[in-house]
Amino acid sequence: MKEVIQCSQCLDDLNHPLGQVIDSSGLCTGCITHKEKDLIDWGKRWSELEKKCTEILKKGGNDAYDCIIPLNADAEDYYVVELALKLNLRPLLLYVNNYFGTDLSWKNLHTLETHFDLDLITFNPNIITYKEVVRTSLRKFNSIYWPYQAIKTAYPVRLALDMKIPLILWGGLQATEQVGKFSHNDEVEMSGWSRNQHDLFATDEVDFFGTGAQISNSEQFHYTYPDLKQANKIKGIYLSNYVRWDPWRQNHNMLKYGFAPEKTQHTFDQYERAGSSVFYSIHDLLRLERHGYLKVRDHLSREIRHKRITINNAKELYALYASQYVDIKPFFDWIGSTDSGYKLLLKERFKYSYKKISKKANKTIKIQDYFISSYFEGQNHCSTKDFVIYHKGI
Amino acid sequence: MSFRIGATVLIGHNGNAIQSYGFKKKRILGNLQKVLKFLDAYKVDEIHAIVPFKGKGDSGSSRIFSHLSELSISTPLGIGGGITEINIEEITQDPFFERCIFNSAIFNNPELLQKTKSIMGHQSMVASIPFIIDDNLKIYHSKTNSFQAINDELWEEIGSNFNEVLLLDARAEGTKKGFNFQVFKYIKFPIDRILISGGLTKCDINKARKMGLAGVSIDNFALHSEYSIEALR
Repeated sequence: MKEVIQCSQCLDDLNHPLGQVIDSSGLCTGCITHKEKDLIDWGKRWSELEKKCTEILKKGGNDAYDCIIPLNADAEDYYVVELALKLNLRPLLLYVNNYFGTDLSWKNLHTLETHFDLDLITFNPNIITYKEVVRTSLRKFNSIYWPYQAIKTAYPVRLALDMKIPLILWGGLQATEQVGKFSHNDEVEMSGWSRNQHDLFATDEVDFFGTGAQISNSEQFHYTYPDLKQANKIKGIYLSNYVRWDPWRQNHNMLKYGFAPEKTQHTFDQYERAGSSVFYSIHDLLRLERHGYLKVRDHLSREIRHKRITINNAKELYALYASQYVDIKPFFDWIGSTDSGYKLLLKERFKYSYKKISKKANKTIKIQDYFISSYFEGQNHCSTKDFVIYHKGI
Repeated sequence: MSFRIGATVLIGHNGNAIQSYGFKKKRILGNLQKVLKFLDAYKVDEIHAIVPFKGKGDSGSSRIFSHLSELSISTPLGIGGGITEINIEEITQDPFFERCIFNSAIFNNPELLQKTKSIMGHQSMVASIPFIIDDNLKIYHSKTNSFQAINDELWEEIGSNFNEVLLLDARAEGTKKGFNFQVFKYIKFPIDRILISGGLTKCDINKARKMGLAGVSIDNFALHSEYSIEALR
């Protein structure tokens, strides 16, 4: 029997980087797991979360903070903070600067901090080293996100250990929400394994720094996870296991706190990673090269599951987004690539997406008509500065 | 002998580790090498690495076993799913594992069992018995992909050919609903050489320890949180 590789209900196929399975009826695990949301008693689940938090905090810890909330500076952060406050927790916000944030991203970060009047720690990795690690990531793995993912998932645990804060609150568990890799009933928590498998795509620090990176051992420190036994002292909870997770709807609701969505021609979702200069440009093209699809496909599959768009409309919309142009030159200027290096990389690494790389203006896609129901907002914002240098000493 | 807390790792045909729920639903777990590395780091007592056969033809087990042999972990390993007369000599030439786990050979392949026993020794022989209980006990036969009744004669065969039995509650697999201990009403095998798996809760594990079972094998949830195994000791 020929193996089914395309889900019959959404746009996902077996090439998803987080790992998809399609069953004999043609449904992917993402669609199957999404159906659990209609069966779970979310009120009961919330009570379980409250109990869990109480248990964790009972052991004592920091006098001022109950939990750390790692931030991306996008709308989901606002929602996680809202839920943390509903749980009567005292959060410490933590932003790991990936240097890919635009002015809009910084605006959203500071609005979050000031609106909720919470303490925020911003960690700025050494930018010289960071750029070298990004270059290595691109050279070795055709990805630019490994360095950020590595720090973003390791630093909160180190900080929690240092400050004796026993809990880290994460928003959605992407592995469950995108591809249904776990059941919501599994209540999967943060772990060294999960970080390695899902955030670092099974490439650990030893694999990454093994050869080729010009980074000293001491500079590798922030990219590495603490000893697993130490890390075990900190609980990391994904809120999507305890709350009916609906990113577009919940992110839209964050407008009430002053979150500024971003108008982009690469997805209809103005909230996820709003203000990133790379997420829907070079990062997305590299996804296309490695896995054969653009991020908007994840958004469309999600909306099919939430019954806000039909599969046929989603396919049409995806085709429109797939024909949009992307300008990736600013990224290469940022990492200090020479013109000849840039041209060589275009030729060698962008085989499928080469034709998409252009400074040409994109078509404006009229998206509203494609959706049965939607969460658009008329007043979208645009970033004006792609890469904002904002770190110690500059 | 002390009570063992092991973990079951299922391996898909593409060499990835997979999760199984209720013996029906499959989900990807991830890179096999990393899964084994982390279970090793989390200090499980043993790992049962099984390629689920489920009535399919060539499961690619030889290739997967060969891949497993290249991984360096210090945790004792049991392998199963697709050990045949064809590959048994090859995989036991330089054994990287301690135990051989069989299912379909329990029913109709005493020659293979004898051969394996003669190479690896009786202590290496483990019978994998996924079960369901309706009116009576039914055990799984992977070649026919069905659950069938078990008679005294088969229990005798199991008793003489195997050192240990790994009982898997197929309906509870991948859940937290609890292992069905009713199965012990039907078992004719020394209790101190039985490991149980499927739906295990902390309560179940304590019960298994008190009953004097050989141990447990944690299914999917071994990697669902940091050091989940440690909390069960």
